Amino acid sequence: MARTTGGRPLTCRDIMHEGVRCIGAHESLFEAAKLMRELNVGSLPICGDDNRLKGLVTDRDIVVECVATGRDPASVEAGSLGGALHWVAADADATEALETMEIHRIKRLPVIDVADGHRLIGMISESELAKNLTDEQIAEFAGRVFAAP
Amino acid sequence: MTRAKDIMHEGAQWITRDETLTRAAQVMQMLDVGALPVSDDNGRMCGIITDRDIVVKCLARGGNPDRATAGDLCEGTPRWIDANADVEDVLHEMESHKIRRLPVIENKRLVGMISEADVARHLPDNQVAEFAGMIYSTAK
Repeated sequence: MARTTGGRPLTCRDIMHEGVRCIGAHESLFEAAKLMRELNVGSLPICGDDNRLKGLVTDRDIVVECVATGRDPASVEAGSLGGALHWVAADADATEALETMEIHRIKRLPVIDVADGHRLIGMISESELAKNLTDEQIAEFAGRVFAAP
Repeated sequence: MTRAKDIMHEGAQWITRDETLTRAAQVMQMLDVGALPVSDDNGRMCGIITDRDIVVKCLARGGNPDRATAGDLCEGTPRWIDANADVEDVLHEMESHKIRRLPVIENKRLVGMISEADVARHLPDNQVAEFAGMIYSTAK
């Protein structure tokens, strides 16, 4: 990983984890639940037929927007969930990821390689932040983001 | 000394173990919470269920949330803390078991919950950072 010793600021690419799996927009929430279990993740990017990022579905979204409303997860498409879409560019400064997550109170952020076909190449979650940030940054982030359920 | 009851938030709600997961989901939505303590017929806590539990332990296995109950998802020893416990013990309990929400009990009654947000609000930066590092090292 290109973490130079020359004092270059960390980029989003430096701190993200790679190997992101998507759920297709037309796949069901039942499929999404199985994939979350299999991968041991709490959220999945939603990809459209053009393989571009369409949104993000979390385990909580499935509970609140599907189970609580009495709908069958097998008959609800992943693409019908997912609110506002937030992401960062891979080469943006890592603090931009932190700011985006703080402002929008989100715990997981997709990373897009804008120069290379606008592809989804990774995710940044709270565990990546905890590993890479200063104590003050983590405390500020925790105070703002974890106020959300 | 800062005690558990000083940093908890009050008004935590139980559900009973024979309520369905659909009902649990509705309560989580209504209260805007991600976890609910579960009580048995005698009003004693038998566990805590999270929104994620509903997804990975029920839906992903093809379960029906209209039929599966909160009690079905409770497993292991329920973790809780006494209302008068020192905040250091609260952090230790949450860090060592990597849990994000801890029910607070006083005289066998649930009087509140301590979540990561409560920890972040009430503790100094260095303690929050240590807490975050421990808890989120396995966060997904």
